[in-house]
Amino acid sequence: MLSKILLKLIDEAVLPAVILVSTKIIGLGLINFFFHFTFEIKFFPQMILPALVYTDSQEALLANSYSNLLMYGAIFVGFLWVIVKSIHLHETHISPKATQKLAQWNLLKLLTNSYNLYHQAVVWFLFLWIAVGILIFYSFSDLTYWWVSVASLAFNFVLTYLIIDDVEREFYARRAFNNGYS
Amino acid sequence: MPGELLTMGILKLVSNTFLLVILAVFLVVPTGIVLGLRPQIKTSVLGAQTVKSDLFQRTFLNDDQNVWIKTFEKDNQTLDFIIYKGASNQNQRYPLYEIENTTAKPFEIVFRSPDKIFGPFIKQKIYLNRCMTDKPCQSFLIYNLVDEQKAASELTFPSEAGEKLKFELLVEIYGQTDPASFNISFELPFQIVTRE
Repeated sequence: MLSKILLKLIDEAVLPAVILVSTKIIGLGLINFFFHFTFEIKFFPQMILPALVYTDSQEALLANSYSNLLMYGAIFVGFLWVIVKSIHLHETHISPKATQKLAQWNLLKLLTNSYNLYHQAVVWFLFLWIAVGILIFYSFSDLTYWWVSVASLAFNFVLTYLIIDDVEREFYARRAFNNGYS
Repeated sequence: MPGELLTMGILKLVSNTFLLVILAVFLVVPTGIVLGLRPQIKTSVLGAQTVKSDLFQRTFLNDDQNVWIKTFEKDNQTLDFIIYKGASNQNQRYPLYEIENTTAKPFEIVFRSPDKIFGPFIKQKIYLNRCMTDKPCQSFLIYNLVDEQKAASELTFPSEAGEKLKFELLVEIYGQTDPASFNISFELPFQIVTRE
């Protein structure tokens, strides 16, 4: 059972992991391109990854802040989609009316079961807090504006509340189901 | 039978640990990549360059890549410092420059204390030292993050005609710090005031 859970978690972790890294790289590229920042890509022997070396500390701050914001935004949207599914497209507590509508539109495949949903939720939840951790670390290093970290932290609390609320609803739905059939 | 159960249990434990490690890799590696992509600031050093103007001749002394002076223009007289990888002991000296009054009149060099120091939260005091050839350096506190004692907001150094003044920064660190990651930056506004 545990190995099944772990395998599912690994499976679900691929997408957010790729999104986290790719949006950061794409964000840095876009910001440097649109703002015409002066930077060089250098390889240092002690570092595995190439370093972006800026001549201006303000440009470095701006590029890093907005690329971090894009990275957080992507993870935020991913987790928000999981929450939307858990609230509105969750097998255990979707309304009959909504099910009927989905059937009419031939969109029943959007319905999600708790097994898939909560594995996704756990992984995206972890990445959401990892992203905020990265932002806070960067803010302490003066490499990201504090407002970016504070705003992200606030959004994290809202999403965390929403997912806890849904887990609670799931818990009560299951209890009602078990009581009805015992 | 119990032997088989034990073997099965061990195999399960090993496989689960392996899966747990893979999951951890999926979480840690992207985090490491994103943190590894932190931007760096170019550490160009002016070295022992000499700058001449109508008023003075200034020779930069920072030859050991401890101080990076980014902006130093006549119209925008602000020194922009990034000090990095330097604090190998608790009292680190950073030679700044030697300035010679090349006029026949005295002038004043006025420094204003930095408003903010950027970098890790290290308790520190920063002094501007004025050194003369035959006397010990005089230290003037320009920034204080150790106690609430106020640093001088403005420091004025008179310079007689033909006189040479040597300046250096002295950083006093309180507490433990890693020399490899020590990195602070600040602006030191600076002006030369001539007297009629």
